[in-house]
Amino acid sequence: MSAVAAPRAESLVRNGVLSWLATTDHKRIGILYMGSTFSFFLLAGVLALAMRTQLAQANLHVIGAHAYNAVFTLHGTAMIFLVVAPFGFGLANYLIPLQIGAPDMAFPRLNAYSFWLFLFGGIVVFAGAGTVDGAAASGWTAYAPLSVLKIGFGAGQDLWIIGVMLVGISSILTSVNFLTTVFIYRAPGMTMWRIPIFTWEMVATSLLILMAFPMLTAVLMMLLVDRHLGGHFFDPSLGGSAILYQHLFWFFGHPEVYVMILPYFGVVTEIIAVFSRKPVFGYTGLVLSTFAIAGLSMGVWAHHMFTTGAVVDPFFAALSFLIAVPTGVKFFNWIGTMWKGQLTFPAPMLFTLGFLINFLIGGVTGVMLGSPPIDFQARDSYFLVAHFHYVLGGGSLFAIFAAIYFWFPKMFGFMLNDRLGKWNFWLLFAGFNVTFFPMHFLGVMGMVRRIYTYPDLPGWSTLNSIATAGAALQAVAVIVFIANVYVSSWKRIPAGDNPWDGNTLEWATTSPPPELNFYALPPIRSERPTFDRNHPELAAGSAS
Amino acid sequence: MLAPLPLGATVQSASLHDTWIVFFWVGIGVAAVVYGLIVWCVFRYRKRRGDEAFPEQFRQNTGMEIAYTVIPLLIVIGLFAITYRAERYVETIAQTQDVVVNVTGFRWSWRFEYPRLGISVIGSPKAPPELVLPLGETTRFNVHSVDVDHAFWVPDFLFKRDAIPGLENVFDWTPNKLGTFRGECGEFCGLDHAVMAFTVRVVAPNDFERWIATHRRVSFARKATN
Amino acid sequence: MKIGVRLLVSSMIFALVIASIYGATTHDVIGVLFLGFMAVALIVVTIFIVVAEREANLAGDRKDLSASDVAGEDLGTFSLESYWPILAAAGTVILIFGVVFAPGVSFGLLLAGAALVAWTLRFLVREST
Repeated sequence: MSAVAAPRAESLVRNGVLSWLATTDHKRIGILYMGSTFSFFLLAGVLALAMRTQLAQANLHVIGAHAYNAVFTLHGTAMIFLVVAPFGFGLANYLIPLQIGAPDMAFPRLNAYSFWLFLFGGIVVFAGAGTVDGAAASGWTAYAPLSVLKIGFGAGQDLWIIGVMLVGISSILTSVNFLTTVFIYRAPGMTMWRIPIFTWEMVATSLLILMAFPMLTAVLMMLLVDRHLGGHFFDPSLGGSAILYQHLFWFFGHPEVYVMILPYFGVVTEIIAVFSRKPVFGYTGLVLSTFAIAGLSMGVWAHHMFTTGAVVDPFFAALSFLIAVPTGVKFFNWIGTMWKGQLTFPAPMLFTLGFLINFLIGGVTGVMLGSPPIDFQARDSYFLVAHFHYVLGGGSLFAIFAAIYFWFPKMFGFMLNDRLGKWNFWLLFAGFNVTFFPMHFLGVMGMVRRIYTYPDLPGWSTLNSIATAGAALQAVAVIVFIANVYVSSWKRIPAGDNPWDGNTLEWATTSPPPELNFYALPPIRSERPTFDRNHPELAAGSAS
Repeated sequence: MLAPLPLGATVQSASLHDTWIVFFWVGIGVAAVVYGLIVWCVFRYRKRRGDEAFPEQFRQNTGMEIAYTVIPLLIVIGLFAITYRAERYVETIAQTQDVVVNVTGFRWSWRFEYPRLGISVIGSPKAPPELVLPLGETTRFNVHSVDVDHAFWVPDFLFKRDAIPGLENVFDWTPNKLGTFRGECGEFCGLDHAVMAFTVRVVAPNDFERWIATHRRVSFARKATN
Repeated sequence: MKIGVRLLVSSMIFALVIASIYGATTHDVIGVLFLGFMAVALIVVTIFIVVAEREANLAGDRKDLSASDVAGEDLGTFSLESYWPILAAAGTVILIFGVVFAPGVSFGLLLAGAALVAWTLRFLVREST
């Protein structure tokens, strides 16, 4: 065991609320992110329950049209900008320095600034609900010319624009931090080819954010100019272009969805390896496929615009199909990791298997949507709603739960109850599929998205009621999760340094880790230094 | 699982329907292989009581990795070929059309104008407009919007096209089934987006002539009183 | 860190290729501009990284080193707490509100500016830690 290089620490206040407000410790910031995103998740979930209640039967009037439009806008905005993506940043904030053997992020105070900017931005978005006209109601995509209108889109829309802009700036600064940390602060022996796959995914995610998020800031600024400064960027009657908005938005929007999945590919990779008792299969392939996905994702934005008649569909269809290939490589590498392993199924592994099952469905429907002839029917229908919920809900959300169950012991020093975890999984898996599978059928039958009610056509009310029932199951699953956290913090079964016999460096230190992370670092000679230290007879001989 | 998919009611939609079928079965095939492998792993490679030693710690198999990169690549190339052919066929604009309809989307209904016939039909959310088309004849559609983005969607025709201000979208439909079909707005446009419906009624050519005759008188009458 | 350089060079080449193919097949100005700017950004970053990598000598890149070999190396000071980030964030929010809705600009500017100065003071003034 060898001592680490000596960073110096300075500290003002160590405990209490004030210390959390002033913290620049990446572990605390990570926990702040994950806690805030979970709160936004609960809010967005309540909004979803409201939507499902209104849609349970045809021609209901539980919520009126304008309120419904604001509800789905906030639901989408929150889930995308305030839950799935930032949870990944929070997890990465916590894990990256630990996984590469660094004492903290490269810019700890910038890290804190990013978090507070994110939290304030999220609050600003929701604050729109308190304005006269209500919250933003133009969808999370806020298409112009609709979102430029003042009637029906008042101060709430402006608050939405400002809030999302703040969150976007926060993400850009976070990526700068991640990239610098990974490039500069790796521990001795931790070459780029030995960093965990999760860290690699965060490198790619950060690069995507740097290329795509400035576009979001720009297009939001342009909306503000059109709304308040007499601009006409998106007004064709005065020389602007309505289709321009879609190009600008989706050039950001498509990489954004990969920002929302790549970290979770990393989570899944780590968990499968640990619970198969085997090293990651095809490490190089996983890294290369990540960058193939990230690169290609910059070129497919107009597959969200196939029905506009304003883009050259075949170019975007071709690239969209190509993305399926590296994604498939990942799936087969994960299967290769499980192959001839010794699988066990505690909660993190169950959620990971759920991810694999759900994400595959989302991936298949994604390839379908990438074909313009199919998109002509399915775009903006419930088929599309089903697709993106399968990849983001069935995929990312399940990986979020897997990550929580896996790394909670490291973060807090005690285990989450595994039996409740299993209940959590099965309820969520059942509820999720009961809600979203029927939507494929509703979509092809002609149910368009973003409608507050629908006519009493054959089968529509039945399928919608089934979807609503699934939503209730999912709510129960989330309640079970919250109960689990309470019960487990009451029981406090100590986790120890390495309850799962994990591979990567975070499992080589205490749970929770000390300030500046490591009292001592093991030698790093492969992509799983902790495993090598604990099982020297199985350590890789000539890993790069 | 394919039952809810409309069969299509235009000549063009046959090609669209075929594309759905191909992609559906390829999707089923891929899912069967991947789920099969996952299920196999979950049951065959469980850790059993007595398994204390670690399994073989292999990290790669270059042959397999190349195989499962190349084979999916070939599959998607095939899917692209099918896609490309179908789209070119569907988007072909004929040299001559029998009927021309100018579709205007506005908040929150539609206007259907037959410029060669002097007929104009306007709807409202309470009174959805009816678009009448002759069976077996090619209708040229010119779609645009006068305010925000909308989309002209008839699910039974498996086709929608956006109505975007500042752009004119052009496509042909040749209906080959009689009947009344539901249409709706396919792009969120604000408060009454959910009730921006219309109907499409496909009639035999002589019924279409009769309809023209009636409506032309009605249209001119309305114009005269404005 | 050669892999980092290789990844950036590949991304740069990919961006140039895709921008060219896109321009040639679609003649769409908007998309070519997007992809073209992306390629230019990657060119800039790649040049910087290539030059920086030549001079870099990171302990993390050495396959054979262990932590004990570099014990005592100074990695710099890592603050554990600071009030400036949350204050600067609040100032930024107020500043943006001011820009959009007019009043409060000066207050936000003041707060954000003060926080920024205090934050970076350590680099402007020599102080004993």
